[in-house]
Amino acid sequence: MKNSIRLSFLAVVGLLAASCENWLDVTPPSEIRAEDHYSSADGFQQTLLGCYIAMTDENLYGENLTWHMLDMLGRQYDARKNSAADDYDLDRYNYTSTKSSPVIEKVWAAAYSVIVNTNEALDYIDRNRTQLDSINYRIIKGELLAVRAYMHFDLMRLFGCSNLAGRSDLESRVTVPYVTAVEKEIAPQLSYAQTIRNLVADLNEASALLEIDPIRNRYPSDIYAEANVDHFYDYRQQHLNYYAVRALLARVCMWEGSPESLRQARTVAEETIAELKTLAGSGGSTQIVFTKADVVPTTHMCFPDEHLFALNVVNLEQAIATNLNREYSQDDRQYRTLCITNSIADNLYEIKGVGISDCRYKLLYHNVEYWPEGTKTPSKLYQTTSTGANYAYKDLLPLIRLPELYYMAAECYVRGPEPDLEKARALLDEVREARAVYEDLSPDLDAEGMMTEIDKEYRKEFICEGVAFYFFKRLGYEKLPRQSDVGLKSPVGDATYMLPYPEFEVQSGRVQ
Amino acid sequence: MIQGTHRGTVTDSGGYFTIQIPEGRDNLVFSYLGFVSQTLPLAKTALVTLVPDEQEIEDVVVTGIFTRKKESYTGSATTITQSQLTRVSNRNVFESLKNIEPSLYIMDNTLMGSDPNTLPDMQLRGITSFPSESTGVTIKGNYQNRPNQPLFILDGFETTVEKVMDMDMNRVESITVLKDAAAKALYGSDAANGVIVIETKRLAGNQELVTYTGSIELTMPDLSSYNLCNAWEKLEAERIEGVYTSVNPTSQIELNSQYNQLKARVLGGLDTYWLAKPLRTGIGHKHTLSIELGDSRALRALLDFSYNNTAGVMKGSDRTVISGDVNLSYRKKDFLFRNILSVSNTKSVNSPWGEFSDYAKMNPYWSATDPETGQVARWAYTDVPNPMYDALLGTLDKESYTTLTDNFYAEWQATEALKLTARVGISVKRSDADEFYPAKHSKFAVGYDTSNMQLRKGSYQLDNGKSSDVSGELYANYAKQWGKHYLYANVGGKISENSYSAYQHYAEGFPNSQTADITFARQYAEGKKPVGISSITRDLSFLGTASYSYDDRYNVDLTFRESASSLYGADNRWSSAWSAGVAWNLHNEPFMRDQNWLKQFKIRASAGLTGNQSYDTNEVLATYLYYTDVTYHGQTGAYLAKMPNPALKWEQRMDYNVGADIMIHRATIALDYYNSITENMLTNVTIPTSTGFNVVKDNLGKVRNRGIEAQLSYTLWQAQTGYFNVFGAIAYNKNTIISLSESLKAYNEKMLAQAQDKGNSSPVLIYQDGMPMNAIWAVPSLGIDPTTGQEIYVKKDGTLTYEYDSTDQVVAGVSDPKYRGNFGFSAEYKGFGLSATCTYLGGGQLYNETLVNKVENIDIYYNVDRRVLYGRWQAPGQNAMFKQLGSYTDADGNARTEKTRPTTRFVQDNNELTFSSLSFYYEFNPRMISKLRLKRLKLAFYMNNIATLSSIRIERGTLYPFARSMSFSVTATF
Repeated sequence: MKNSIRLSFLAVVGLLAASCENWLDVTPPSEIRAEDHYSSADGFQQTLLGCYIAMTDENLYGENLTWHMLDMLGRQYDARKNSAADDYDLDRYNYTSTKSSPVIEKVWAAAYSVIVNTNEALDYIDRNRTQLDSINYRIIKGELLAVRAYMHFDLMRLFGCSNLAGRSDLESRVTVPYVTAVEKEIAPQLSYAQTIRNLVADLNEASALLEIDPIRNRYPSDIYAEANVDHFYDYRQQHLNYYAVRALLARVCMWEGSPESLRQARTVAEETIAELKTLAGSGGSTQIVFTKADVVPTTHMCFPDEHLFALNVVNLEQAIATNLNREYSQDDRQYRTLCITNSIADNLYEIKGVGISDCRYKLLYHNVEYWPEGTKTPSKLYQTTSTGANYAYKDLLPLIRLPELYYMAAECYVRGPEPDLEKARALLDEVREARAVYEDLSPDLDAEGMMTEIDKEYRKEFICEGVAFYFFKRLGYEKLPRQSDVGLKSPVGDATYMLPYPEFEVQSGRVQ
Repeated sequence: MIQGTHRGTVTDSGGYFTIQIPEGRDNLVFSYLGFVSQTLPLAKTALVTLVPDEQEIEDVVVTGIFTRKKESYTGSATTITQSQLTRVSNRNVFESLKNIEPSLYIMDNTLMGSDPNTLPDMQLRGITSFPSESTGVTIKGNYQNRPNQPLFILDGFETTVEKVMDMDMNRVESITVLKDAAAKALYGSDAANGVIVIETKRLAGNQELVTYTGSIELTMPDLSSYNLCNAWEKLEAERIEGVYTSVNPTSQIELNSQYNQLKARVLGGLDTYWLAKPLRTGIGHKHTLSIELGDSRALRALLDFSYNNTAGVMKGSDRTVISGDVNLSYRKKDFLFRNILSVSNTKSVNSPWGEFSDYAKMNPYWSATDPETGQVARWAYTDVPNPMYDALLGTLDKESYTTLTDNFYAEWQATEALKLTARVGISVKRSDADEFYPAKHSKFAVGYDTSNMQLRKGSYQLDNGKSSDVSGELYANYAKQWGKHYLYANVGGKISENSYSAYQHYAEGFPNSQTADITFARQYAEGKKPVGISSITRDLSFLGTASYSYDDRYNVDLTFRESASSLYGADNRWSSAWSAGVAWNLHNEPFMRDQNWLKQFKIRASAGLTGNQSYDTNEVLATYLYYTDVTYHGQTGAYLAKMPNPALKWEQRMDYNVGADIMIHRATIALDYYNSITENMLTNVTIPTSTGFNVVKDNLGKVRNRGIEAQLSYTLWQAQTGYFNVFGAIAYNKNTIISLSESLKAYNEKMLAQAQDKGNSSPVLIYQDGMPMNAIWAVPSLGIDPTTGQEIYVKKDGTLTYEYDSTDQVVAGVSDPKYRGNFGFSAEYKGFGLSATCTYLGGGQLYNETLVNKVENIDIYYNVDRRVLYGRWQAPGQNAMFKQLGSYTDADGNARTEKTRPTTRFVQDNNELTFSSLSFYYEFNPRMISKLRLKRLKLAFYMNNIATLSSIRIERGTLYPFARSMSFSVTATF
């Protein structure tokens, strides 16, 4: 009797213990567990959108990695006059001051916060593969990989060293950590070479997955109909689509800079240009073509037709209101407004010569009615047209645009393994023509002359997009434009080009 | 049972029995567990009624899971009976416990003072957890537990501090404080902070009794810690501080006239005593009616109804609890069923008069009322709103909650040795809170001028919450004695689920002042969205205990508990708690047995491991949140809420305890020494942001609490007519951080930077190995330099400086007292009783922040401490206690007054002696009152918190003053 009681008791306990594991898996209603979140395509889509939203943060592309900090560092604006301005120290490349270092630490933290989100989703997307149809699986996974690569690449460009092509220690020297898991322990740092291999691998995988991207118009649109009930696939240009991933791959190759990489960059850029031309001819719903020059300064300020990748930044108007305002005062200019002295702008855009009709110059807002005269501020991101009407391409902040493909291909023809200045010139002329610069480049230009033209193009074309700084850094410029205004002395080096790692990363054993 | 034989029988459900009695044996023994046995001659057995054994509670330890004989128990536990509790106070359980049990430290709340609606904060045997970080949402209604708080068990089920505080003290049968591992390991992973077991009254006899207890309580504000200027002193202080001097002759003329005007007011007799304005003598009352029904055989019932209104000393602040309980028990053969159903409703109203500090800062030369009409003035002075005005507008701040609890208990005595017990408990709580500020409130006086803003005046915050706890447990008890051996074992399991959720809504724009209902709002508050918290936790555990005792001399207790909780990830779900204890009853040794003077001499020792858990599920698992204010082309995005840490484990506390229980002659002594080490403490660890987050919840660190507890009680005189008893107790605790891994470095650095900030005046918490957790960190100071008026600091290397550097900070004190205790006496003579208790604490320090803020960090345009008049440095050569402060420009370019940062000058020793309780009662002789058809009549008078002597002069009760209380009560049984 006693034994049987004991036995049955043990049996009950055993059964309980087995079934309790499930019973103990509970989450309060106000929390969504990852497992539940990723039980359908919705969760993956929401995480991906969450990543894009996180990228619009002011610490990332919503402000500092585009029109504010990065374009300051790229010397796209006049130097700050007043040392009380919040960004004065950054403008002087003083990265360790009490005003700059929090800005830089936030860039780092915000970028890795996007990465951790992609990693959790990438972890689940293969586990829950069966929950997704093939369209959703391929496109979402491709984009997640692309976002992760995009963030890592920009972290490396910001916090890594300059002019990789000119270095021999890429295999031994470590760079920013390439994080691929959600873990509280810090991810190991990899060498520059390995990090670039990881980037290229991720991007190649992403392009393969995104092969079916609807933006390419290769398959009948009804195959996307089921996946697109919530219109998730309606805004391909504001997602890292197939073309954006290709362009990003070209960027990575250019950054690495070896002859082999330049060849690859050229191939990718040219293929993409060619495919985009075919796409434009095919009459599909999305066409990526040059924006017509006559409408650029009035209604198409952000070059909407050219976006390979842009972000939808909610309330962009408010975000730029302080620093890119039209009606600025002397105080604004000293502390807040980012502007360019007329004579400098005139010089850059060569308006006394070929640039007289350049539509990009017209984008620089003429500020004649308000004090101080003689400066301009860019209106590329303005949210009302020059007539004051509401802007049709609202809240779009471009990150990769068509001309960059041309510039990259052209540069490869100048500096790459099989130089062909003729082709380079043709590529540049195509962009210049689209910008209403009607005079072709001189056929007498040598390689150096071509590089000067490409340099000018980068500075004219990408104002407010945070591209110029990377161009200088990639080529290891020893002199930056108007560097004496901010007290820089030649040769500028990695002290200027490399943002310092956050203090706590260094304390945790990171090597920069 | 037939006396002198082994023959016996048991009664049936009606209590009838038959038995064959051999010749010559005519005495029958009637017995039952918990009742006094009766031996009756056969002839007299008509209807036998057993009386309950009153001594029982004194001789057993109630653990909440089972009841153990005290003599063989190896744990350290204190049992407090109802009569001990009510001898000290009749206010609430905590008010009494504070004066009885020194190991339980119920802290005075220096901010909230004697607010009847603030729950006490307490710890048992030292602190072991980091202060919990705020979630950013303050939800009213007490849904989150504090990490250092002990576990409360009411009638076998876990309960909350709030419920214990609101409980009618007359219902309490006993309180057991389980202190060491051997005692608390029964509660395994929840028990690290100690366990307090409360048992409500059992059904006593078979008499039908009706007992009424009523009392009236007066509470009176205690402002003795305030030392503010009167009108004349304040004006003089302002003059000395240079408020009325200017280098500019034009403004000097203006200032002169301003000064003269105020002087005329003061000379005219204007001296408003603002402190008195929001205060009153609170009159509260409570009534309890308790009805015992029973027919001696099977069914018994105990019904309670009580009403308790506690009135605070701030006008309009009170707490009202109404509750009813039904306690039924039914016995059938070997089965016993018991069910306790309680319903209670608590309504707490916070004073519409706002915070007490608003009155303390008012200048005495400002007037509270309009001198002509005598009405309360809108403005106390030009542009100074009168806080009293807001109080009279219909401001509302109230909370209420209702709980329904049903505890069911069944017991089956399967065999003589084996008993099965089962418990099921359900408890549901609904709470709500309202906070209404009418349109005319001074909150809306500034910045609400535009027509759009005009419409937004008036605000309402509505909170709703609910929680439910369900638990069930099943235990098998085995008790067997053979010869000198006694074995007791208990095995079983428990399963429980706790959940709560609470939400908050805001509305704004109220047409007038009197409509205190959210439906009158114009709109939801702009820019606000509903916020809330919710939690669900499931626990499962298995328990096994065994104890063996040989000849009542050598005793061993073993406890093992295996628990699992949904709070943890699948990897760390299960955790074990265990304890082992031994005790030696020296007094039962043959060579000691015949000593008359020695009644008890027990030496005991125990060791064991228990756990603690206080965090949310989302620390362990990856959870997602949505971006609620931003979309991507109108589509919703989601993000990871926190860095998950699936490796998170239970916080563990290893306790070692040795002690002795001694009764010699008329003295009772209990001694304990303990050493506890808490490991795997839960804290927010700073991590590099390359992980994607800057913080993660993790287990780290080791903290030790060591201490001694001693209790002594001595009966000076005892006779049939009464007794005189003196008692005293002391508890000493020392807290030391043994190791906190490097991970807290970043936190400490952040704290140092905070201490360095010129606008900071409070000491910061820094954790360093070898130091206590509650250390007060401050820069050593030599006082004020008489020549310059600047403070002289001592740097780490011993050099002197005027420059404040937070890295020079040293441990200047510990904010927890090193020792605490009580002493007093109780006496009874012919029905008269008198008892008095004093409590004391010492060996700790306090940072006198209120002094800093009222003497140095002052805003001279408001009222200040008297010491400003003579204590502050004015001129070279003056030996001053306090300095004057400069100003600085902050990061935003605003000019700010510099503050006195943490300095040893304001670290003061905190030694305190409180005359905390005095009670007097008279119990009428039953013969005298029988004519009134009364069985019992008792009158009692209590005084609590009568006086405090303290080595530190610090303003206590800044937001709500402390109070003394006095009450008169009557107990009558019919």
